[in-house]
Amino acid sequence: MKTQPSLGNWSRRKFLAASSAGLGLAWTPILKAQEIPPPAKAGYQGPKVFLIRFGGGVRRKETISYPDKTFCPFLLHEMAGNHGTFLPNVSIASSPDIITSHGQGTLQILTGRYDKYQDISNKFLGERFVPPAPTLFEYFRKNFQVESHESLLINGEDRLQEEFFSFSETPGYGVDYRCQVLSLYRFKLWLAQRDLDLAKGNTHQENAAKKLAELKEKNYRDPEGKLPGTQALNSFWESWHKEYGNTGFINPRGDRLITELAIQAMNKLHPKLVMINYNDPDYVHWGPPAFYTRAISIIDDCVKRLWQSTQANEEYRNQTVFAVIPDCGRDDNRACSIPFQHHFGGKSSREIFAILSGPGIPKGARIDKPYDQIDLAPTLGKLMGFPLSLVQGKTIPGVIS
Amino acid sequence: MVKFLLGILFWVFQTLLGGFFCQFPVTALLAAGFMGRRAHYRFGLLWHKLYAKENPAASIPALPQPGWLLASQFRMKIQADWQKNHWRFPFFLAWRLIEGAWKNLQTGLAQIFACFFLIAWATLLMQLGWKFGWHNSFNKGFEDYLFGVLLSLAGILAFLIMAPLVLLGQVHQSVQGRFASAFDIGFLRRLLNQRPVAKITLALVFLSAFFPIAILNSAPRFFELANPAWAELTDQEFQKKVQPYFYIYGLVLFLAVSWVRNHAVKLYAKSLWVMVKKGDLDEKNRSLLAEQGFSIPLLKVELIAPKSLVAIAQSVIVKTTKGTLWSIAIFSPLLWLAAIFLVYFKEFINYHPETGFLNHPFLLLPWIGPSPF
Repeated sequence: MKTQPSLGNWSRRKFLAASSAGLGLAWTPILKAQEIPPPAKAGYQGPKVFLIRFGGGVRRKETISYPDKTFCPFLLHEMAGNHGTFLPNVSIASSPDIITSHGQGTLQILTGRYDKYQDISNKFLGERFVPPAPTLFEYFRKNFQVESHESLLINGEDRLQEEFFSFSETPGYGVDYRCQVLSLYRFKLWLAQRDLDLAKGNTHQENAAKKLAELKEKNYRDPEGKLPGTQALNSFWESWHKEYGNTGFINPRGDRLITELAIQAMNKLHPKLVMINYNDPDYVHWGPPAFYTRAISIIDDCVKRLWQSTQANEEYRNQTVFAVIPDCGRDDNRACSIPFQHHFGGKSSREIFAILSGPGIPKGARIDKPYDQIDLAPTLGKLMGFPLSLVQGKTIPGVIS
Repeated sequence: MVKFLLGILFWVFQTLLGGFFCQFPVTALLAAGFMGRRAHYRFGLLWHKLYAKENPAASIPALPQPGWLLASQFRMKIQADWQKNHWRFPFFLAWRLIEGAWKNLQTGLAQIFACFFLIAWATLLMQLGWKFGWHNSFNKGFEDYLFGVLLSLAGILAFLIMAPLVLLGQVHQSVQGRFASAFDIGFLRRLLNQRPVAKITLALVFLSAFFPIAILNSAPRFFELANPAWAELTDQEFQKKVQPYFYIYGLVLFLAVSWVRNHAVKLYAKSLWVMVKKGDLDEKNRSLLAEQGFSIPLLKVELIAPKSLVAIAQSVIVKTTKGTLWSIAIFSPLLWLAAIFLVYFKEFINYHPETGFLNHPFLLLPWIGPSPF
């Protein structure tokens, strides 16, 4: 009978196993010393991008369907007609899980996906969503060496929940690649923190702390305010405060406010990717049609102002891509005297459009082929030079020349 | 049996016509007038029944029923016209054929004008508050927001106070046949306080009748959602599809307004009866009732001056239980507030231009509101 060769009491198998372990242990410090660091991210050299959410819900009828009656002449005739590419046939897919509303539309634009969204605590009519996939900001910052304040989300006064879309919880992405947010709420947070710092040690400290805590609680992603701010943003709010005081009543209001924030951000923060959440057309919910049509005109005026500001700024002139897309459409309910008051998911509320203009984008072009709202994100990714791995949408070929 | 069936058929015809008339503002005026004249007729029936209970020997006179187009007691009148003058009979006949419509128009105009002055200031405050509040939101002048809120609250409070008085004022105007009767607020308040529990039933009937109206008013907002294929229809095809809905809406509105008006007539009649038996009816109203042919029972001979509000309140408090008082004080305003909430709800879902707040179909024009037709 053959027996295993042995070394004393150890079998050969046992010896080999022990030796491997020992060698491994000895080699680890050597390996660690020579650990290959992840490749350094390149600085971003591509075009600046202003992604404009033409919210809160606009119909084609008041914007693009009748060029001689449009309420946004600059966007339609100038930006789309002369400077960019016009896509009149963009739509939101029709499905019971795809709701035509502002939060959902914004996330569809940012993630390039159709997902079913639910309030984080299942509250009735609640719209506190968490992006289920990485946003454009995360893809951007993951691929390039970009400071957080160089990618901005600028949000309005009323739909507070939409300023917490700055990051997802996708492994490999998430809070480390988040964008910063500019809004009146953030200014009030900064102000409350400042008031608390000034009140330390005196009788107002408790009230100031309570006010700050109440404001922080509104941030359902970070209710204790643990995410750090940046020095750049502190300076930004400092100069905003010097200009507009602390009442919140002197600065422009509504969609004009976020335009002003965007223009000041261009000069002070030099962002490379900005999303601007216009929203005032949504006030037609309360009935008067003039709120809707006037709001469209105001957005048109604001975009014109933004565009002129980029042309006046050497850092942005001829280097800025404008991407304009509604979050959703509106109803076209012929049984009602005000047919466009809501956006309940009918055909008209899924019909939107897109306008892209800037370097690398054909001028005066029109693409009638139907595309999806979720196609914008991968298209912008292609323009900016980073891949979007978890999108469902596809790149729009005619836009990139 | 035949008479009964004919009566049913006649009622169905009148109701269908009423439903159709409620669809357009001009014809809604005729519907308002018709309901006003019918209130006079129903009061007469009720009053004479109440009177006959106390005076069994008294007979209930035949009261002329109002019509939509024809003169009331048409056959009797044209027979009398024929006897009067054969040569002018064609003109009399032509007049009798539309006399009902003319009287409906007269009564409707009187009702709408009177009730407009009574309630429009409340609904105007609500309209202004709504518009200012959201105009404010749009322009973000938050420092002024209280103005819109206070306007709305003032309007709601005014509506709470005036709505039951307007309902009774319509009946009072119809019964006495005088335009100014609708403005006799003091008398109407005394009337309402005769039977405190009636305040709750009036509010309950108003709310119950308005609930389906608020639903029907808001439902068109969801048509396309329920029928996505309708988005492909042409305007004419779409109109054909939804027209039956608005006919049914008009019909339900007519029935709802009729129910509220009938209840208001019953409340008016019974409260007036209590008032008469207590001797609280003043001379002016007594003679106005007599002019219309409504007998006043001879139970209380002395005619006393109207009691002051304080005296009435005291007598009500003494005679009413605490529980009932609390119910009236709390429950009745809550019911009215619920009815007001329905107004705001339907205007948010299906906003109309200024008519949405200014015209309440139960208090002013019984009209379904602006429709796409």
